[in-house]
Amino acid sequence: MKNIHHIIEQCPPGSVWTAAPTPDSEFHHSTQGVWPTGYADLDEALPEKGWAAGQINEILHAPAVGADVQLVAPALVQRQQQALRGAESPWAATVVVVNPVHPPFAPAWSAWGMDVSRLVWLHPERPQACAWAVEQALQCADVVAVLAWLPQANALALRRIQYFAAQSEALMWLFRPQSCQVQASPAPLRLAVDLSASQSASPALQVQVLKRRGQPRPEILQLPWWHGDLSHAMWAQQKQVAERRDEALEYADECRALDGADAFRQAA
Amino acid sequence: MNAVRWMALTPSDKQPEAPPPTAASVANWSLCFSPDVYLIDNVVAIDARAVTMYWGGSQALWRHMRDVWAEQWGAAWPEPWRVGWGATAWQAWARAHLGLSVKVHTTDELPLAALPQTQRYQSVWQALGLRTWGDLRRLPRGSVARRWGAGVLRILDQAYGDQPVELSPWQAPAEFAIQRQWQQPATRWAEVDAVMPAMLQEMVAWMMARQLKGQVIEWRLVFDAPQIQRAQGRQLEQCFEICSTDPTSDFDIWWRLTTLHRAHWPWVEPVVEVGLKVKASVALESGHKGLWDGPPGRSLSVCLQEMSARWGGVGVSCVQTVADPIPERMQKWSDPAAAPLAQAPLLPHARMAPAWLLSPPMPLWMKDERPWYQGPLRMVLGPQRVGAWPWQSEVQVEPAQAVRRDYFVAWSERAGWLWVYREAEQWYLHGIYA
Repeated sequence: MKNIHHIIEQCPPGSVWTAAPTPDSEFHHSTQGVWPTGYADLDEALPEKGWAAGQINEILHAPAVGADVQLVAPALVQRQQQALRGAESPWAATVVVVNPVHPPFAPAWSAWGMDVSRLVWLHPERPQACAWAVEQALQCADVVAVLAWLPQANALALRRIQYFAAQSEALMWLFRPQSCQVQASPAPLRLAVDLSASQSASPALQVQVLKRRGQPRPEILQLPWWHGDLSHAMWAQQKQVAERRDEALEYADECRALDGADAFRQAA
Repeated sequence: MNAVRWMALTPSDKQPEAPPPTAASVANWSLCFSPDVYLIDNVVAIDARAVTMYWGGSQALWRHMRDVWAEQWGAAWPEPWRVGWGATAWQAWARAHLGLSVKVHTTDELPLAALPQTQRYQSVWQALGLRTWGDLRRLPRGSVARRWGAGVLRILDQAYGDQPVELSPWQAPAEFAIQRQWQQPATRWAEVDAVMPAMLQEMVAWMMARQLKGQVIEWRLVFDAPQIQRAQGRQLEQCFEICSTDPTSDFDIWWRLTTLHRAHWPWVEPVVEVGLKVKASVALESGHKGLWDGPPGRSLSVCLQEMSARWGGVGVSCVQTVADPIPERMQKWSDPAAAPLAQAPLLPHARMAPAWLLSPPMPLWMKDERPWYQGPLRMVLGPQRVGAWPWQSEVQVEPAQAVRRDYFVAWSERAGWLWVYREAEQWYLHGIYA
C-alpha cells in the first residue's frame, strides 16, 4: 500500500515543502499536556515527544495486536495519578474504555499502577452507539483518558470525536484495524502497529508513524514488548534454565573427568 | 394592570373537561415562582412582593406564570382556576372569588360578599344596604366593633393593609405522589409523554420546597383493562423505577432519564392514569461550598446513568477487584454507583496477568499434541499452579468451585502473547496480553 512517504520520495528534491517544526510554532505544543509513551524511540518520533492530550491519537493495529494497550499504559498511569492529586470529585481521574475486543482484566491494569475503581467499561450492544459514547465521555470534566475501539466508525463520527477531543483535556486513543489506513482520518497522529516479522527469540513491536504534524518520519521503529513484571519473570526463568544447563554441563564434565580417572585407574 | 403584590388562585365552580388540578398541586406549582405561598380554605395565596423584582417586574411574572400554566396543565391561564391580585392577601382573595370578568378597579368598590371570614354577617349587611368594603369602612369603628365584634375590624384592616395578615406558609407534604388521569384513555405514547414534563416540574418544585434531592422515583401506569377484566374490577398496572446514582433535583436530568427509560417500557393497553412518586430522597447538603452545583463540565455519573438508560440498563460497567485466586473471580463488573467502589488488595500472581480476559475461557483444540490458537503455541513462562480447594477434606465442594489449573504464558506467531491454562488435560485460552 502506498502512503505519503512513498509519494514524497518519488517527487524531485525540493519540490515538496513540509512545515518544519520550530520551537515557537503553535501546533507543536499541545496546550492540554503531553505524556511520555515509555519508549524513548517512540517519544522521539512523535511531534510532541509523547502522547498529546486534546486530540485523537489513532493506532492502526494488525489483527494479532488488536487489543494492544502497552503503548499507552505508562501515559495512562501518569495522567491518572496526576489528576488524582488534589481531586475533589468522586469520579475524578476516570479512564473510559469503549468497546474493547475483550473485557478488561482489572487486576492487570491495577498492577500497572492504575486506580481501577475509576475504570469504566462501556460495551453497548449496538456498535453505532460507541462513537456517541466516546463523544459523551469526552465532554465530562472527570474523564482523563478514553480508549476506544471503533472499527466501524465513519469519517463524520471521527470528525465529531476530534472536535470534542480538542476541547477536552483527556488523552484520546482510537484503535482501529489496519484496513482503515486507506480511509481519511481527522486524527492529527496516526500510527501503524504490527508484530515484528523476525523470528527472533524476543518478539518486538513494529511501529510506523503514518501521519504526524511537521515533517514525516517514514522509518519503522522496533520496540521491545513491554510487560513489566512479566518480562522480569521471563528473564528470571531464562536465567534459571541457563543456570541449570550450566550446572548440568559442569556435572557432565565432572562425570567425564571421573570416568577418565576410573579408566586410567583400570588401565593402571 | 397595577403592580402585583399578592395573587390568589381559587378553583372555579364550572365543571372542566379534565380533572382540575388540586389545591396542593397548585400550591406546589406556585412555589416555582415565590417561596411565600399560603393555602387558605382551598385558595392559594402567593406573596410576590419579595420576588417581583427578580422576575423582571410584575408584567413579566404574570406572562411567565401564564405560559408555564399552559404548559403545565394544558389549559389557558388560569382555567379551570380563577386568579385575582391586589395589594393585600384579602384583596387578591376577593378578586379571585369575583373572577376576572367582573371589572372592579378600586378597593372601596369590592363587594362585601367577597370579604373573607364574614359569612355570618352578610345577610345583616345586605339588609342594612351595605354593599361594598368602602361602605363598611365608612361606618364608625366603635359601632362596628360593638355590633359585629373586633374580628370584622381586624379583617377589614388587614384587607386594606393597615394590619399585617398572620398566615402560616404552606408546607409541602412529606411524601410526593401525584396522578394524572384521562377521561378518554391515551392511545399513544405521545399523549403520555405530553403530561410527563408537567408532573416532573411539580416534583422538582416539591423537592425544592422540601430542600431535597431525589434518588429514586417511580412512574406508575394504569392501563385500560380489556372488557372482560374490567368487568371483574381488575386493572392493569405497571410501575417503573428510575434511579439516579447522583441525587439531584434538576428537572433536565430527571426528564432525560425518564425519556431514556420510557423508550424501553412496554405498551400494554391504552393508558388511563399516570402516577409519579418519589421513593427515595436525600436532604440537600448545607455545607455546599460553591455557588453552582459541581465542577464545570458534565458530571460523569449523570453521563453514565444516561448511557445506561439509553442502552436499556446494560453496557456501562465499573469494576471491583476481589481477593480471590481464581482469575475470573478476581473482578466483579457492576452498574456504576454514585462513587467509585472500594478495591481489594492485589494478589501477587495478578501482577503477571494479561490486560484482557476472555469470559468464559475458550477451549483450545490440539494439533500434534500441542494446543493450537491461530497456530501452534510455544509455552514461554510457567506452569503456575492456581487452585481453590477446601482446607478440610470432609467438606464437600461443588465441582464448579474446586479449581486446579496450570497457567502458562504462551507465544503465538500470529496472535502474540496469550495466557493459557490446562485443567484436566484440556487447554483453555484465558487472556490476551497484546
